[in-house]
Amino acid sequence: MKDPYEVLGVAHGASDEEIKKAYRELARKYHPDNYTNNPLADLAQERMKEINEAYDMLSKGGSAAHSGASSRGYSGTGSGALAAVRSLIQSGRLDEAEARLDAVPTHNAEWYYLRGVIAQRRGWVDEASQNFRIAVNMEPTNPEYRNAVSSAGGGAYGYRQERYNDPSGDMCDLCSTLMCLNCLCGGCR
Amino acid sequence: MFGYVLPRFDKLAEADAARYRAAYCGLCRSLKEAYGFRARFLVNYDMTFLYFLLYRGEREQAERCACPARPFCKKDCLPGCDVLSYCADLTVLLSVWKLRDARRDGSFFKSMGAGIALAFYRKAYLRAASRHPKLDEEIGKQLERLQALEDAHCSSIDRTADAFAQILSRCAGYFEEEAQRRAAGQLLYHVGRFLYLADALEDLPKDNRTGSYNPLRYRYALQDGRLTQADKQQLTETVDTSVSVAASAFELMQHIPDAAILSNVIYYGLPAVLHSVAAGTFRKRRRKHERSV
Repeated sequence: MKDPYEVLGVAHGASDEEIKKAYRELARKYHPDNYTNNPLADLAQERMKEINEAYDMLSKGGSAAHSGASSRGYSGTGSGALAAVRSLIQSGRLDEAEARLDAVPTHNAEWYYLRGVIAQRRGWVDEASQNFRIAVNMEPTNPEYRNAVSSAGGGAYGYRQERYNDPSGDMCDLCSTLMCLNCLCGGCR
Repeated sequence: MFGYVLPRFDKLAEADAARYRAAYCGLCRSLKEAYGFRARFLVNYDMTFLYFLLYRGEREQAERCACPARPFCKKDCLPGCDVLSYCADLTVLLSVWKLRDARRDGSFFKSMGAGIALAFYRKAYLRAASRHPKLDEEIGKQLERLQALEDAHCSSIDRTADAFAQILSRCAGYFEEEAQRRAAGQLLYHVGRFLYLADALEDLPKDNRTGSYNPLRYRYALQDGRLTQADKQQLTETVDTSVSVAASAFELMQHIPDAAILSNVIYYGLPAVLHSVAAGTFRKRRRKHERSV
């Protein structure tokens, strides 16, 4: 069993408030939403479990309200062949899933959605979002497809916010970075 | 290599910035020790990033060492270690990959230059390949795949980027522990995508002029040899997503002594580079500008 303080990244004897804050931060970071259709989802889930356990041990009341403990499965509404494709995807056999999918003659919204999922699992961001968009256009009311379009934007914790709320993150700073790099090659540091 | 994987020094603590520079110099020295002086020219920032990703253990004290680029002063450089020599091997293998691609794909002068450089680094390459035969074989395989896609004028940026991304993700084979290897592999896969796509975006005007293959030429409908504003926006979002997936893989890596440097590169460095490449203000543009002034 790991040291719960270490898992949460707080000092021994940290106050309840600090523990809670660290827990919330980590729970946000490893939330399943950040790992939708990501091959590392199981690692994130494991980490989440560790964090939850550590928090349970440290919070005296033991009534920790866990966030994001549920793992997301596919809702699996499809017909026979597509259901088989879904289960292949879920077990990580992407090449087989793709071959099965290609053999299906009718291309309905779900077909495009599953193509998108396969691409997303591979990290093929562009094809994933193209396929998800087609699926949504064909069936605009389906919540699964609509979620997919928004999740195709990737979900690393805080990355976007940090990037876009950072007023100095423009090219001018890059120039100064490059000047620093020039020093790196040339300067006597 | 490409040299797009950079930190943002203005957001890096002084000690970390010094360590980053020392790793760069350490890599340069390892290259020289393993492959002779000429290999020093291959040193690059991308592989410095790889060092920080793979290195585990104490943060060693930097040594002072002579720098041939600055003969009159000594620089801090990290002492040689297994990770540095692994990075040096990979620097040679990946540079040769890039040169082979340029020899085949480039304009007449470029491919001639690449051919000469390949002959120049032949011995170094053979030595690196004998140290990592599996990786070398994999690189050869992926390069063939990429060439087949290029010949078919593939319009999928994902598939063409996949070849290089796969190669980079194999570098995670350094880790023995499975979880770490998977996380690092995924991180490097998306860094590889980033490199390939940023490079494609940067080279687009030139490739369009010379008629060389560039996936963006087939993926998007160009106007006057350029991406439309909307397409550029869409491409930037795609690459941004890759950075973001790389970031979520990074968060799953453990026991990294230099997490501050890596997170700086991923959260600040890559987005800044991407946006300046998209705006056309990155390196090559600047150099050209300087020349014309």
